[in-house]
Amino acid sequence: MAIDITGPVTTLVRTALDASSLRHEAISNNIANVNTPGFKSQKVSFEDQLQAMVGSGQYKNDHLLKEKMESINPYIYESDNEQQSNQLDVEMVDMAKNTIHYQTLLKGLRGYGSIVKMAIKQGRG
Amino acid sequence: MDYMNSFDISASGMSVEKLRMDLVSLNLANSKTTRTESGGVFKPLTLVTKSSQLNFTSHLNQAYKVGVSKGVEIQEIVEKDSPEKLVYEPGHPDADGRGFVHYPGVNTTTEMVEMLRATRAYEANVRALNAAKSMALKALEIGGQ
Amino acid sequence: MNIESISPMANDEVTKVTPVMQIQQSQKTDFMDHMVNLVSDMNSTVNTADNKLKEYAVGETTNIHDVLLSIEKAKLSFELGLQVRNRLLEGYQEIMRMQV
Repeated sequence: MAIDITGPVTTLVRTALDASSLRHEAISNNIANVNTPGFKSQKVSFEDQLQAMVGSGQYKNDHLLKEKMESINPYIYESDNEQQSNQLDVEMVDMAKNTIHYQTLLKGLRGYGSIVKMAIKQGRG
Repeated sequence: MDYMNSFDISASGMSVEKLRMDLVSLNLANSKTTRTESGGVFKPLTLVTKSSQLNFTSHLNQAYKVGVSKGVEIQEIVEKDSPEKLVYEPGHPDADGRGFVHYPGVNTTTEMVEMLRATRAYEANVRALNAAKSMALKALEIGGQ
Repeated sequence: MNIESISPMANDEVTKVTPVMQIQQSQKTDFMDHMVNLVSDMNSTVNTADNKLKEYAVGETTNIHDVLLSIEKAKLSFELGLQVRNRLLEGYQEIMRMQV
């Protein structure tokens, strides 16, 4: 059975949750600075780091996933797209997307852990 | 199917309506402008939009045989060719040979109606976005709590 | 007393017994097949849930309800397998307790 609570899937979801909460910080910062002239909106780099894995379907293999996850770190950077920089409604939409993403990851991890919990309790108590 | 896509669609709608609103404000502010940088009288601007196509990158989209729209995007900003208003003012520095001044053909009523349309469309997009968000949050209730 | 009339009846009894015993034999092997199928179904639903969660975290799919539903299916089929195993175990222990 593929359920391993200490395995790479848990690490992947945990890192995705980290990236999501970091993104929320970046978005709040952008919203707070919506009227600041010359402010460059902040973004988080995480999904693009995962791109290489997604393209080749490598993440399906637990071994490769574990190796890759060790080198992936979400971080904040300033986007230098001056024209479209820091629009309020775009930031609000990003916030909505991010919130749902965070909650879904959390729910998924909870469901994952509850299967292990069932095995431990053996359906009793 | 795809909540992220529906958010992007609403976001594109909101951006376009905001731009439309900007153009309305521009037209109203310049309703008496007789000189522009390119010479001649100010021409009121209008927005031409088109629906943007999704790239068929994921295998899921191939199930839709029709082109799935990714929202709306701006095609171009064009000048309206509404007729200029001629006012007889011989003392005006921009008066032509016969003493008429050409004023921009900005129809205030049309611009106000356009503003109302842009506002309502913006609100509708926000409502659609909120509905999509609450649907996604409801989906998270699968399995209890 | 007519002896000839009794013997055909006795023959019928003998022929009636054997088909029933054959049916019981075939039921026993089917039950084991069912158990094996149950366990492999359980395994496949859990693997599906695992893969879907990975796909979502990596960003390949954004289909939220699909991910959550597959996790629910995995939970339910796991629970079913668990309860069947518990009942079987109880039944076995019951039998072992029987004083022969």
